[in-house]
Amino acid sequence: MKKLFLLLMTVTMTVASALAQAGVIRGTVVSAGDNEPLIGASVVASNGQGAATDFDGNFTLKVAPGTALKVSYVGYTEAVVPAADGMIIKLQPSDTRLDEVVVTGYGAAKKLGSFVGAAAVVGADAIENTPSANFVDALAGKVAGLAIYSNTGEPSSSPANINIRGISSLEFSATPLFILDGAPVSSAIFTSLNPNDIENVTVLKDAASTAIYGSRAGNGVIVITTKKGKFGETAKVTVRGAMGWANAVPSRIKMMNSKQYLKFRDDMAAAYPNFATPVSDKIRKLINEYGIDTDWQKEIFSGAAPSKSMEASVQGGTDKSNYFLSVGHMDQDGLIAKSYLRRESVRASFNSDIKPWMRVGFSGNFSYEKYQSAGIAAVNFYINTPIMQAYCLLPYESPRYYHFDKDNNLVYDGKAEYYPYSYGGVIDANYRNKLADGYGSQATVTSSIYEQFTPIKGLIVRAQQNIYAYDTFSLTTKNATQEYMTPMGMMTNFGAANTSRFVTRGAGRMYQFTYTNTAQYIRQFGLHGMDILVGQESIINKNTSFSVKTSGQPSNDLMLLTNGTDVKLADIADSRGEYVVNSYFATGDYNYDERYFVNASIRRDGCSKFAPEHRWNTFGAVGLMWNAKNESFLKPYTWLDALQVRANYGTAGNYSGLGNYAWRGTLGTATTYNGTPTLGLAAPSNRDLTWETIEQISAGVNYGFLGRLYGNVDFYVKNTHNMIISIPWSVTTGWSDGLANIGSLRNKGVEFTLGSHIYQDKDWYVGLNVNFNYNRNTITKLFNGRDEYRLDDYGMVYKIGEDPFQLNTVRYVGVDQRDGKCIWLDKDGNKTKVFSKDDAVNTGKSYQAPWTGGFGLNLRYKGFAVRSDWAWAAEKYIFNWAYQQLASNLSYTQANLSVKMLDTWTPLNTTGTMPGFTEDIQGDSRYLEDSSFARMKNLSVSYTLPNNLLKKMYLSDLTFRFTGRNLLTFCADGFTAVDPEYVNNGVRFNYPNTRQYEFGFEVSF
Amino acid sequence: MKKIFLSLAACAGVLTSCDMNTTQYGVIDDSAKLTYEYVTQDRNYSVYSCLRGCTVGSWLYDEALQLDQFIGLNTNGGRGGNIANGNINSSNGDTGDKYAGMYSRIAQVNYAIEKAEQFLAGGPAADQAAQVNRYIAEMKFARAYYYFYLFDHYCPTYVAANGDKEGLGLSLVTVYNPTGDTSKYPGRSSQNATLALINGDLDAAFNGLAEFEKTTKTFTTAGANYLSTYAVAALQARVALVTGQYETAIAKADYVIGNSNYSLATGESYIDMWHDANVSELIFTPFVDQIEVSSGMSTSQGWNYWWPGKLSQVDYIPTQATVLSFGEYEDAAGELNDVRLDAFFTYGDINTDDATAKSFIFNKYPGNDELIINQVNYYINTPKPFRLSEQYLIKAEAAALKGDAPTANTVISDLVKARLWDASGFVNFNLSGDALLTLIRKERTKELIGEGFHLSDMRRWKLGFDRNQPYQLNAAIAATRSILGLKVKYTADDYRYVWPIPYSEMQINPQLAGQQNSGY
Repeated sequence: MKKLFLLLMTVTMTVASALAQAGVIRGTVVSAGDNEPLIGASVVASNGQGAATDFDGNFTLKVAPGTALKVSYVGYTEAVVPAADGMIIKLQPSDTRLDEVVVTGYGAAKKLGSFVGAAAVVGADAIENTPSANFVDALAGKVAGLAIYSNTGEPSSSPANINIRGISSLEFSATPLFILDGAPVSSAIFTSLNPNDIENVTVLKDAASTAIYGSRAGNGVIVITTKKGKFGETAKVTVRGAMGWANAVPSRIKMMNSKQYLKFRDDMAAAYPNFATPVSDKIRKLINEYGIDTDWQKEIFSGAAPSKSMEASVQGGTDKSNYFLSVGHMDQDGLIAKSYLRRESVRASFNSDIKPWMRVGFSGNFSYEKYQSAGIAAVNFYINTPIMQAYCLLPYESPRYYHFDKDNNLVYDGKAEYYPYSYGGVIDANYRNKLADGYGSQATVTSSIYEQFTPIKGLIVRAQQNIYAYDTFSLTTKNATQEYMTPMGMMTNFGAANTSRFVTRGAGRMYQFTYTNTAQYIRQFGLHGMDILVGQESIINKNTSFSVKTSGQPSNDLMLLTNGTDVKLADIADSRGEYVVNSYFATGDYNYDERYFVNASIRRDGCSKFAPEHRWNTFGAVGLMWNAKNESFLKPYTWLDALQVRANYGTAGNYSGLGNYAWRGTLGTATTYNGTPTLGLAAPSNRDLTWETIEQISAGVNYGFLGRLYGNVDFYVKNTHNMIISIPWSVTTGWSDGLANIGSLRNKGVEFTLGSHIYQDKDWYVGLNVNFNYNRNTITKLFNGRDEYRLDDYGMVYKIGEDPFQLNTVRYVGVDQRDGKCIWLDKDGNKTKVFSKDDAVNTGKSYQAPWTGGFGLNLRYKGFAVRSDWAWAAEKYIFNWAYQQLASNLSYTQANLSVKMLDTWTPLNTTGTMPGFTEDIQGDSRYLEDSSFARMKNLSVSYTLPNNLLKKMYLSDLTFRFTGRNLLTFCADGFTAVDPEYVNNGVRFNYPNTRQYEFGFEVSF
Repeated sequence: MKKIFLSLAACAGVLTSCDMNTTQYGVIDDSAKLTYEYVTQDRNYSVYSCLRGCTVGSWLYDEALQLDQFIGLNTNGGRGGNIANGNINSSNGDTGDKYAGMYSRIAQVNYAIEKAEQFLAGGPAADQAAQVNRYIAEMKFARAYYYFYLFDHYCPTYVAANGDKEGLGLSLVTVYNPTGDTSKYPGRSSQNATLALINGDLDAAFNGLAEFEKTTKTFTTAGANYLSTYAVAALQARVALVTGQYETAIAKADYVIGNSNYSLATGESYIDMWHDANVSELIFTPFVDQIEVSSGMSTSQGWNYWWPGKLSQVDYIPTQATVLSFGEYEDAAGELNDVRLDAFFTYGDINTDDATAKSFIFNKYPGNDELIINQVNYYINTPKPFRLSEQYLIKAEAAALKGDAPTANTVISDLVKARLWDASGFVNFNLSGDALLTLIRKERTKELIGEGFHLSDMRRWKLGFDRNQPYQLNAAIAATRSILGLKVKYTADDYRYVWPIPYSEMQINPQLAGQQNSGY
């Protein structure tokens, strides 16, 4: 091979020198940093002749040696060099964000500065070393217009809310399309990727950048590019390790302590002797004499949850090939028992030039995750869950059993498994979870190969085959306990559910094949640069799953499915599904003299999720850009580093979240009747269903000046048409709702990004970046020509011209101090004491924050570096249903209450601000709280050993670091739910977000 | 060479385009013609599974909790509070779910009738045709049952003078047509039109089943799991009583009572009936066994213990007046003599504040040991939508209202006699006028407690109530009664006796404008 290669080189050289005599100059343009060829760099001779570099960075020009060549590539400092055959031109990267590569998924990467669309790149430095198990968390606050919220601190979960430029679909998923190394992936991938394997994440926001993804890109696109080796790079081995711990971000819910609860009961009994009773003498004694006063939040979100990770990677390359290999292990415990995530992952990437005109490569990831997630009471109030017990267990309940000795002293015994007073006796949630053991696991593979040909100069033909697949497996074993007499002398009451056994096992498989074939032609004709790509893509997605449950296992030692004594048909599940997407697309870029840029894309998509007559749709976009900085009249202004003006218009689609067979009316089987089969209508047909279309017009400016300030400003208007809404049907049809392409929505906003190298010298670097997005979301059309639609039970009303996410409720004024009754405002703003849902009004307060943003600070002094990243959201609201539950007269004798109840109005406390104890609890504006916040998502402090020291140690890098996540949170005073980051119309008790602390090192050689 | 590769790559591109006609597993397209087997299975579902689902669980206890016979406890965590504490509005989920649930069943049965008729039109073999004709009769019974439930809960009490007024009946749908086109949604018809549909379906059902019974009498026996002309007549009698057709009510009740396969259960066998060990009174009882049972059939979130073991959580208990009403009959020795006191109640520990206390617990549905789910008894019994004793009560009330006091006295005496442990000293009633009617109402209230008749009865009889009544059976229990529950009062013509058309329905169906029940 080597011999062959040498021979080939010799031949090439001979030919080259022969041509040189005829006045032909051949050269190569590479990046000065890593010697990587720059594809599509512009080389223009002083006589006007021009060329663009090909796939290997090579160019050919028919000019005399010595002619001045102007070589430019956006993101690199322009160079003017004399022509010489065989020359290698090294361009220096320039120092603004415009350097960054926009990987659009199809074709060669583009530099941000020559990219007509609006995109943002988050580099590895911001993603590496995040203590979170998923990389998405590290993107929060990094990109203007990208809103990411984490609703839970469960280690195995990912942020549920990820939106680009507002929410463009009301009931359908507004989550962007995720592309991993050229193929679509689902959110199930998030926790399976090692964040340190990611090279960068590109966020595509406007029509020009997303139209090429057509049907699925309506919500924006997030392109994840993994690390690769570089051609000609010496091998580098990196080892990282980290250990840390997590604890809960403190909840804003404050519960009564024992003395407060006792006083509350006494106050109520005094005020309402007819029906309210004080606690019994026995309990009074427990509180007053034995001082039992348990802080259940502290008990349940116990101490520190440990985490650790260890990984190694090696990367490098020869002049013909490169490679990257990594292996990682991560282990993270949750805040409560039975909540954790463990992950093993390996990744490999390999690229090789097997012929001068052919390159092949492989990139693949395999990971195995094992996890458990504890029951969450965010949606329902279930007293058996640890999250709810953390608030609702009575404070005079002890976490340990106890008995009284002969002198009547209280003596503590073992850990309590049963609490006799709360809810009439309840099993300890952690003990219950211990009985119900088991785990989930997922093995994920993403793997792609490509073959790339360069048959003629400037033409790249590429075929990529990708498999994305995962297997999931779950196991639940429900052991049984027995009733017993506690040391306190009370029988336990675990009930039948905890004294019987069952085993459930489930397995699922998803596999998706993506075949992408593209042909790209890049040419520079004089001052005219062009880049045309046509392609075809097919996606086949199949999934299958089944589960089975058996019960009646005879003992805790015999817990296989086959040890059971009973199995029911209803406890067996089986599902299979598939969908297919076929696409054809083309995109073209043209520029004149690197000053005027035009881009146009078109994509035709067909999807099996729709009825045959509505399967195909076409999307497209056109964009313009003016690179003003390249105008000669701006050349003299050396303080101006960059100035580009962009505008574009286009459409994209959305069907994410749509069922595989949403169009089809079906009959399905149900439970038998008298042992004979049954068959009933299972779904109504919906043949008219088709794509949501998101039309976007946007304009923006990229700027950079004084060598230290850079950024961009963007305006956009996004109109969603044919929005797929589940519209209510009259139940007389047999169905309560059906999907339809009805309604329109508008997102209008501005994005602002500013980065600054405030100070920079040999030893110091101080950098600051700020971004924000203001987005206004309005409904522009509803179904059936109506201008208003109330979503009953959600506290929301869709109204044309108004924010669809604003909360709708009856305005609460206060308590009438004369009788303790609530005072509300009716529709017309008059005070009333009669509650009626009809008086609910739109409050103008939205649960989707219009203002979102982030800021970050970078400090470096020699080897020390401090980095702090913040995310914030303003004018964000939520219904706090936990408050309603905890400050109510229902079950007040059986569960603890919010400290707010201490100020309950009674005939004896007429200045009380909480409604009278006999009043009905109504869902009104009392529970609508401001959940705006600013949160330090990340703080990292690191020290890298100086180079001279490293050399002595034969190392290329040794860094020690501390990373903290969510260390600081600021929110509104009036906020009294668990955590302000939670996004929904209402919240009950959610799994608290975590504060993580991690110490780590990184060594390379 | 390069060109070959290029061509190859292009070919690969064409080859990878994939077929978009994907298979959906485990279902049948609803536009397909159904085979005999599928028609049979569709009838099993739309008639029997659907009837089984709406004659148990919250279909029984929700409306009972709304009224005067039960009181919530402050230990119940607010479960059932919306309906029990008087907060009935058009957004109420309990009433809304039942409205939607019945229309969903109507859609199923409309589709089934259409497919069965389509099958008949295809000219099947005679034996299959006979069966499918029977299915259609059963389907029409089921449709009438569903519509009558709606009529009896969402329409005001029938008054002949208002019978033709548009907007007081139901939205009538007889053809399955799933659509989002609101112009196709029906407004409310008149009560006469609604009754015409119900009675027409029942007549068709009766005739169809009579035809079938010429050859097969299997299902005319007590405890039948399939419909018979007697089940149809039982529903006809029920409809007739509510709509003031007393002659029809008596005739239909007589038809049922005249079937010697049915007899009133007495003594232990009456108690056995509630434990599913005696079927002599059951005209039709949907089949259920350990395989087909589901937790939604449980009444434990209404009345029973929250599944047994030693848990002592009970959400609602009978009021003192309810318990004492079963103590009226004494035997010669002065002992309590009413079988139903033993059949309907247990006396056990329930949760109070930080302890437990003894209370009467409504236990008409004590749970069938055969109907346990994963080793847990959720208090599930086989549904009993048509019992013989109801026919006695219908006949007695209709006779009394018609002015035939002797018949009324005899029939009600027969029933009461059957409910006494020791009937030896019992002397037949001989009442007239209001006293007779009051007795019949009282007996009906007792006999049918917790079976889903009381809302209709209270409305028809124009009775109000005040839940704030003394409770002297146990002071600790008295103090545990729900504050909000005790505040509930209904006037004689309270608007809440007629349930609201759901808010979502009023919003989406323009034809319903102005047709909401009054008061909402």
